[in-house]
Amino acid sequence: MELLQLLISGIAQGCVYGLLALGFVLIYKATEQVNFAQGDIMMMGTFFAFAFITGTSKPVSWWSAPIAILAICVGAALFYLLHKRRLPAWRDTAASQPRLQQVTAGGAYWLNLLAIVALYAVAAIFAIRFLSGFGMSWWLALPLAAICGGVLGYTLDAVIVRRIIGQPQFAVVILTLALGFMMRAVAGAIWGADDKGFTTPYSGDVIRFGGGEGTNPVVIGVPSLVIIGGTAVMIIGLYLFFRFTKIGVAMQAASQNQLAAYYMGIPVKYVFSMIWAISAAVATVAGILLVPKLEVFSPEVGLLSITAFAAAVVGGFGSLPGAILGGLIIGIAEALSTRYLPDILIDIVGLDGSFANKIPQVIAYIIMLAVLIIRPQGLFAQIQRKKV
Amino acid sequence: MTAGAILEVTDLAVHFGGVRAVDGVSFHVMPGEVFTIVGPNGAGKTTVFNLISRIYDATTGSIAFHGEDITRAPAHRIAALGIARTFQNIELFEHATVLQNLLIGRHPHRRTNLVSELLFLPHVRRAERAHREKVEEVIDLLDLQSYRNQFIANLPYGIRKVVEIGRALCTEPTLLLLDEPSSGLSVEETEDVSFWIDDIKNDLGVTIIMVEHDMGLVADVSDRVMAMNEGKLLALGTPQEVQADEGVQRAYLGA
Amino acid sequence: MRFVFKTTYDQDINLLKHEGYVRSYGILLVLALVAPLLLDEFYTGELTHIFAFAVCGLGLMIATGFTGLVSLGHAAFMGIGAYAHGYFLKLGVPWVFSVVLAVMLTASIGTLFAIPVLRMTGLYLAIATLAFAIICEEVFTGWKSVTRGTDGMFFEEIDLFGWIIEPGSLPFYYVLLILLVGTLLMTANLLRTPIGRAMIAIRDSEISAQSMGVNLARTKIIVFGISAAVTGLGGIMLAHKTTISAPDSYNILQSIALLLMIVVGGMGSIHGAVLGAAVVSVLPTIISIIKDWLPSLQDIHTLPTGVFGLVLIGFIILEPTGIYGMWRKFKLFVDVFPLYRRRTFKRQKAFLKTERMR
Repeated sequence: MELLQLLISGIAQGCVYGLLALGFVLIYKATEQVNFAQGDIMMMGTFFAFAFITGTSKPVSWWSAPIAILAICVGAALFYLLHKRRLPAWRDTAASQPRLQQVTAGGAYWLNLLAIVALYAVAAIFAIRFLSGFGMSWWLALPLAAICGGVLGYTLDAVIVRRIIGQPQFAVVILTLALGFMMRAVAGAIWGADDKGFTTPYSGDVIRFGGGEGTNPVVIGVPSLVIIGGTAVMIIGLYLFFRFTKIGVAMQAASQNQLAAYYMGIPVKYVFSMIWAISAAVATVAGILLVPKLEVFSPEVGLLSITAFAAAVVGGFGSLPGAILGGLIIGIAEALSTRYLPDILIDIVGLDGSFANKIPQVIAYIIMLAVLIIRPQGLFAQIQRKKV
Repeated sequence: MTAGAILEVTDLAVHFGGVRAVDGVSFHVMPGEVFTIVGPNGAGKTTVFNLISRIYDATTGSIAFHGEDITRAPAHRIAALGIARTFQNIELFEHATVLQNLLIGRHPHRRTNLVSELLFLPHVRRAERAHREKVEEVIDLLDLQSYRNQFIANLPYGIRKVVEIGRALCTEPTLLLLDEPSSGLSVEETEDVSFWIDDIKNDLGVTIIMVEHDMGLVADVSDRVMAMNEGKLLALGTPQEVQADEGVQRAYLGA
Repeated sequence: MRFVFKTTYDQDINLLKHEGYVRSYGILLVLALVAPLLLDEFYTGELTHIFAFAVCGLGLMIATGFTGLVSLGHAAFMGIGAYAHGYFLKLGVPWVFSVVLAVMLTASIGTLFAIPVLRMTGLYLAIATLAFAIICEEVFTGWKSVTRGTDGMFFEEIDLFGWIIEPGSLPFYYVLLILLVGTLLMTANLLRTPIGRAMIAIRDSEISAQSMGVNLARTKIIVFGISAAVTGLGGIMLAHKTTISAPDSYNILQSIALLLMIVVGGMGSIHGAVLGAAVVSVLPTIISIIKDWLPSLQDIHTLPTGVFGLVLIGFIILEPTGIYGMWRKFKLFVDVFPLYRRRTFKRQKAFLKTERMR
């Protein structure tokens, strides 16, 4: 019965990996960029939820004012960049010309400025509140944090990542890695590097069944079950989204052939940013669901994404069901190997104890390397080769 | 086997999933001739090139070069055997100079090993000088003197096309595969290409297989023409014969 | 502006292409030679640190900058080199042979790793190297009988055939300088010979490199082996400089620092590796100076990470050619003074370059 517990826990962990991997694959399929910051976006999203949930117990520290001002400046820069770059690039230039002139024309300019100032006022208030906490209920915080995570993802693509389209792949790899570092630093600066946690309506709940005299009952944590359920709901939601909504279909089209999609009038850049937003939101939800299972989290939780990578690779980095399946494989393997592998290694192989205990920590990467060596395209891959 | 053929392609076919990109094509190329493959888009012309240069694996059939079967030879051996090629969309090394690009063409003639190269022993220097002399011959042939030290990224399209032909020539091939040498070129540049093809054929004695859409150029330089459609051979003969062929006209006009 | 009249092919083949090169590199070498005599101990120490880092960066540059094999786990090779060297020393192998053996061991581990892995394309390779580095870090921590785990392995003096060289002493500086210059020369040689050109060919277009007769798998494996060896040598140098080799000197952060080094310095140039090493070595010092100015930042422990990230993002977006690229632009600006146009170096905007077959 211990096995069942381990399996459920492993599947739950695997679901989180799978959701993160899903984000990688979504972005990769669409833009051929690999977002190494995925885990850190998840971390930021989880901290958003933390900020929404925790109360005003923490006093507003004096340096929140300069940070708010900084936020306003950054916001201004972002808004400027967005406005400057967006309009002409969307549809064909001829159609966008009049709109461009409208924006720069007299009255609209002041209106815009007013809107911008109002936006920053809101941002400033938000930033200050952020540091002190909101004290919301979990049910409200979950969707709000997901939206904030989505906005973060959208902004990252629209403002930074989009600028290096066309540069070699390693540029994107390094850029997103650096973005991840930045986010970790920002989270550490705002919320501190120590472990955090928040309570959810079901934290610590367990379900027991079975077990009479002599046998232990099966104890399954509700948080694990919520993760599994939440993952299922999200997968169904995403499926419906891609299958039936206009933007979902546009995303599929843009993933398959950018140029053709662009010529058909699909605003490719906007679609790509939306894909970033979706994968960031999915990662955020995954992160929030994970917290009650792990009980604590810190800025370092983003490192989880490296394991999620392994999942995406095992799944073939181009297949959405593959990503989830890869996540499950990795999650289950981790759960089982942590419990059983050290004993096997010590007793049968005769490894040193401290060494044997390390192996389960890297089992995901060992599986990944093995898959890469045996089937370099991953288990569920699409053909990859440049056309000449 | 056709006696004396430099390249002998027998019953060649390649399938991608359900698509038969090349479907049972046979032809041979005699030494010293210019052999042109024509056909509408998607006919499988470039795929034939990719099969000869071993970028794709043939599903069935065989390719023999100088009587040696190369259907399963590793791709990097092809250049050393004496087959060089250019690409439809120019695959030069953009972040290198023209000179460096041409020197890479000398790679099949590398005779030095890693350790001597790391230490740059005297015989490595001698080899480098010899490579350079060969490269200069090609530069003279194609009039590239003024571009020697320019980066490819800064060159106009027409010059890049010529550099790519030059790079192929630097491997000292006996068979040259030109994939649409005139695409994207102006009328004058296309005329230059036609002169160079003559030069390469007559002065260097290199056999040429080319894929080309410009019928003027095809009629000018080709000894024989093969027309393809949907992976199949339509007609094979002199340029005039192929142009007069009913099947070819149907394929182009879609009647 | 200089006009060089070339009379022999050797002028293009030589490393020092004309007397301008002889002069500037000569001055640089003299400066490097007299630096420890003029500077105080702290700055000499910083210089040796830069030398060690530069060799590590050069190793990564060979793989990533010249051949386009992105590695996110090169710090692992630093570790392998340093631990192997320490282990051989403990066995009583003389210093010089120990270095050679350790470098050869690193090269062979790099090659062995490369054989299965280099069949993969760019992205998969990056991820595989990341996994390799994570596994290596755990091995460094766990294999206590060799590495002494988290306690770290200590490196004391260099015993050069009975001549004892203390770390931080004058001869120590020169030993590291010689190693750096030797590595630089070998890398420069590599680049002017067929294998170097094959590397650049692979980076720019694999498919046409193959058609030019370059054996992709073999070349990549050799390059990865060389790259691992050079990085291993850098790891040995760094271990001697810091006198300790512990697992957390070879974590993901260090690998990223190596990447930062070559990106900031300038991808695809030898100069870039050295310049980048200088920046990465100096950055922590600058951060601590900033912290002195702004005490409110004192308790933000993630500041260095953030600054690293910020510098990296800045360079990738604004100046992908790195410091060396900036220098080249400046030089051209001076050379052609009134005629310089910003467009000279303008990159062509490409729609997404696809690696996928449709």
